[in-house]
Amino acid sequence: MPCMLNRQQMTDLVRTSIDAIVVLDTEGDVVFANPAAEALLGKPPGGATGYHLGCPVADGQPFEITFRRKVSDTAIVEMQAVETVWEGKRVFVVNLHDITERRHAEQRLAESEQRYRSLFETMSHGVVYRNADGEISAANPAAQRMLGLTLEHGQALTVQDPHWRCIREDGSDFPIEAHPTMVALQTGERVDDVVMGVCNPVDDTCRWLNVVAVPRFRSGEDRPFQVYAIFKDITLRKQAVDQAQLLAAIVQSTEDAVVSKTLDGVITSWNHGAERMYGYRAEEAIGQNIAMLVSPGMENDLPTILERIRAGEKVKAYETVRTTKQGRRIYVSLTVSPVNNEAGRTIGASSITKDVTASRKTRLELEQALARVDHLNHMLHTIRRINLLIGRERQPDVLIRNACDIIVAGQGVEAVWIVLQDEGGGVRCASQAGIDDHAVTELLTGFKTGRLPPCCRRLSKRQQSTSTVDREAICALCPLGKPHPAAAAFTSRLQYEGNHFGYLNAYLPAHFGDDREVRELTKEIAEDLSFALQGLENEQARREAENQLRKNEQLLNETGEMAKVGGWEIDLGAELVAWTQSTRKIHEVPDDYEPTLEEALKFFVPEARDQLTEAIRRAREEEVPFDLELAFITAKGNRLWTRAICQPEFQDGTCVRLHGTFQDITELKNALDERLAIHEQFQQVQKLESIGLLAGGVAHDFNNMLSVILGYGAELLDKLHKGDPLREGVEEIVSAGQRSADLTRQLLAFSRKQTLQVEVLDINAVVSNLEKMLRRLIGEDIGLKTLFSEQLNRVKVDPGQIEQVILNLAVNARDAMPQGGNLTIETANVELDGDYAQNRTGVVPGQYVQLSITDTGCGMDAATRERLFEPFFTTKGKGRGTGLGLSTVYGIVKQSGGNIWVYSVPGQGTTFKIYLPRTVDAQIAREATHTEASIKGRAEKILVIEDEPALRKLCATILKRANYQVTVAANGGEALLLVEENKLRPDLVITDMVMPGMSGKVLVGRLRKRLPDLKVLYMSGYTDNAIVHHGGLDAGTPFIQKPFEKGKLERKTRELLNGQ
Amino acid sequence: MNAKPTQSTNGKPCADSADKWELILFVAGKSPKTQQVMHQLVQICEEHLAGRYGIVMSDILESPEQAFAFDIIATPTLLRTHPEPMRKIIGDLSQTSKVLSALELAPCATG
Repeated sequence: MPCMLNRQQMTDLVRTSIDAIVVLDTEGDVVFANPAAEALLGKPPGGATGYHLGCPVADGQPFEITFRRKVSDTAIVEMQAVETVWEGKRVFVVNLHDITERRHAEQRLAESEQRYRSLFETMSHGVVYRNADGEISAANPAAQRMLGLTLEHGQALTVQDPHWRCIREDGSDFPIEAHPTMVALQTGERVDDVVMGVCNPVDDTCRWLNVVAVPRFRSGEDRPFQVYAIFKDITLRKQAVDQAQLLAAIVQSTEDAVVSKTLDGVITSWNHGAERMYGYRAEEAIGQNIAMLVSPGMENDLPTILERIRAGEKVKAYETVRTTKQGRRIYVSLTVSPVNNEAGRTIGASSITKDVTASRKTRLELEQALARVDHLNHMLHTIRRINLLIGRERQPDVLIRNACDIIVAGQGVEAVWIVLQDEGGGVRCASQAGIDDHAVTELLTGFKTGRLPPCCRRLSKRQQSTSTVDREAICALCPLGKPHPAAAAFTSRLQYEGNHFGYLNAYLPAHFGDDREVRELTKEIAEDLSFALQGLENEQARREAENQLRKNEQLLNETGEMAKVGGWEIDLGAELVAWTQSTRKIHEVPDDYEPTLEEALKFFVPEARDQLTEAIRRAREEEVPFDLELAFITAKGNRLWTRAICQPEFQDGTCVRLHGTFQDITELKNALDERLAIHEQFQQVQKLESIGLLAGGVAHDFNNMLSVILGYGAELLDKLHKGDPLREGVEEIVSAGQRSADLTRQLLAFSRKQTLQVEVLDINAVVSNLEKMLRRLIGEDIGLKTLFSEQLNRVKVDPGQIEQVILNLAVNARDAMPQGGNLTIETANVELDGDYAQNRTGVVPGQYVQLSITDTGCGMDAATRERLFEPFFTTKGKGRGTGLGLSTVYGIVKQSGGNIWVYSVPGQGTTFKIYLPRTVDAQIAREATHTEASIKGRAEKILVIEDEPALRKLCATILKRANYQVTVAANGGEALLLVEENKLRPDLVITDMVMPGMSGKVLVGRLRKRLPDLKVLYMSGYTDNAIVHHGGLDAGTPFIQKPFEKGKLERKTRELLNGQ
Repeated sequence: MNAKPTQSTNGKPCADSADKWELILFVAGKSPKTQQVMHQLVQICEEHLAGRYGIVMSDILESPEQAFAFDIIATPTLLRTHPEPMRKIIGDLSQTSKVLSALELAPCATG
């Protein structure tokens, strides 16, 4: 029944309400607020009125607003506003109900539920709720996944549903009553850890689940209303277990030994395979150390393997040897893997071991066969390379060096040495590859001292090659035995057709040492090298022979060229001529010129050609050799003399070959001719020399006698009165004597050269003096004409020699005019200026006296003119001239500082012009010396030594009469006695040069020892240079030539005593 | 308070006036409810103030100083800052007619 409250009741109700109640005007301003509202608005009691909260928009339905009074204080409030009229005004009554706590609780619940939902949804375990009747009420996604169902699917299904077939671990069906959820429902007990297979018949898959079933009870009930099953998918784990069991079965059933052990090698498992393989039963082996299986000598295996296992490595297919319980050695292949604990740390090792003893044997055989094929291939390749080398290399030392390198590089041979010996067995050269140099040095020392290595010693007695596999015995002594202990030495003798070159030693891999084919191939290398060495030797020999031949040929050519001797051969069939180079050179033809016989013959002058043609004919037909000197003209037109010698070669009466030498003998012939000429000239000169000597000798005595005749004749004429009838006779005697003296002088002039006793002369006077003799000389058919220049300048010449010049030229002129003619002698002063001197060699410009001698004879051609002054050149017939005349002239003129030129026109005549330098020295007036007083003596003491008594007496007479005190001596001895014993102190000694016993010079020498200042005048019939010099007289020594006139002796004596 | 030419004779703003309305919607946090209120407001404005309004949404949790400035303690609260006078409306704005009335957005009687 409705109950109406009064105003007070209403007011109390509002005041005490836990809800906030606010009255707002239409603007939203508070007109009333109860205490709860004041608290909510954060206002003091009565402080809320007028607060502008805002106009609520509401139609009585509650809505949520959020109050936020302070930062940390947020209240959720359910607001309900009702528009009403209060005290005549439209207002809103607003009820504010704080639902903050409620909201928070709701929010926590929702979050919790969300968490569980999330867990339920995402957990890996499957969860299924079943109602008491067995229907599934809920299943999480994991369960759906595991069972292959959607929730829709699963709901309303029971455990009996044919969708599933549940099986036990052994595969039998899982009875429905034993299903854990059913058990839990029935017993009310929790069921733990039931393993159940859930098979899906549709896709025939089976999942293994570990199921826990938990019953749920409502409070107060003792029967579960629900059961939930939590199950874990253990399919993988179960499979793993199955797998492990399978593996264990496999391990047990395998033939291989599967063993596990600790890192220290203690055996922890041992399968049947291991029992069978090693003979130890599992209970025997487990706990033992794996080392018990290790074979002697393989002790290092185990630590190595375990070390690698500790490092986490796996050891695969490790081959080694193990020993069984029975002591049998077996070859095994191990694969060892580390065994790790759950933490990943290696705690042991498991090994699978295969017995490879049988397969190893097969494999080794196969490997050996393959290795052998490889080896043979290497050897063949080496042989090929060796053959290439042989084709290329020409030096034996380089050949063997390269061969060694090739042999070792070819891999078929580990090392090699080659020693080549010389003929005496010494080392010619050696090479090696792959061997220590020191060992080789020892080997070579052995070779040099005749101590061959044992392998070579064996060879030197036996076959060509030998293999030494038993190196212990054979190679132990060899310095090379050490370097390759595992190799087999294979030694080959390098020889070809009995020709020994040396040894090759190859170190073959030991297992091929006895292989027949390997040995054969090695031997082939040695044979190839031997063949090459033989080839090189042959080649060397051939080269040497060729060189020798070339040298010989060169020598022949060179000597042939030197001797100008060549060779020739006539090809009798083809009528061709083969020439040597020298022959070609003589012919002056190119080096490749090959003439026919006819062409060859054309080089000879016609007469020679005929002569040669005939000689060749006779040689061919009659086997007559020839040796001809033939005139010949070369291809270049030079005329030569040649000598051709031929020796025909006959076989069975037929000429098979004509060959011979060919020599240029031009020079020889010329030289021979020349030598003949010189010889003749020499003979001529010799003859003249002899004549000269003879004439000189005759003249000596003759002059002595003439001196006496003339001396006494003069004496007589002095004593006879002018009217004395005897006078005419004596004058004739003196005249004849003088003529005789002239002749003697002429004779000497022809045959001698004279010492230069230069005097200042007037050439006019010289010619005048000679005129008489010249006329006699040139004969009556030739007229002599002299044209003297007046005031002729003086010259300084040897009068005797200038006379000889004039005489020689006169004789020459006479010979040029056999039919008669005129000889003109002219003199003149000339000046040769610079211009003239420039064009004439040897001319010094200056004043000269010119002496011209001109004939009107046959003249000379240019050739004769060129050779005119050459010694021994003569155009005169044999015996008519010496060929020395003009050369003597030339020599004298030149010696006198002059020049001589010849001008000649053949058929018209010749002019010789002699230029003698003018002198300014005063002429010693001969006439002046003839004054009696000037040449008289002043009682000076003179010692005369002369072996000819008449002449000695004459001298004494002349000198005494000239007022000298004269002592005479017949020889040197007498003279010495007079001086040394009789204390004779002569002022002057006049001595003959040539005397029996002591010569004049020796005498003077001895006299001067006592009388150093002694003055001496020599006399001699010889005036020849040679005599003078042979007599030892120095140039300028006072000298008087016999025969002398009285005056001349007096004059010379006076001159000397006067100290001139 | 100054009178504005756009104001009607009775001092209330005219819905037809060309004046631009400036509104601030105060909310607390970004809940779906907040989105709902905002959506509601935009619909009302588009219908009645198309082209001449501006809405600023202010989260009192994020910027309490603005709420403090306008003395706002409860959300959602819609504040009309222009045209004046300022008006404050509290509620979820689901009652459109009430909102229009509270905002005095009834069409002007005369021009």
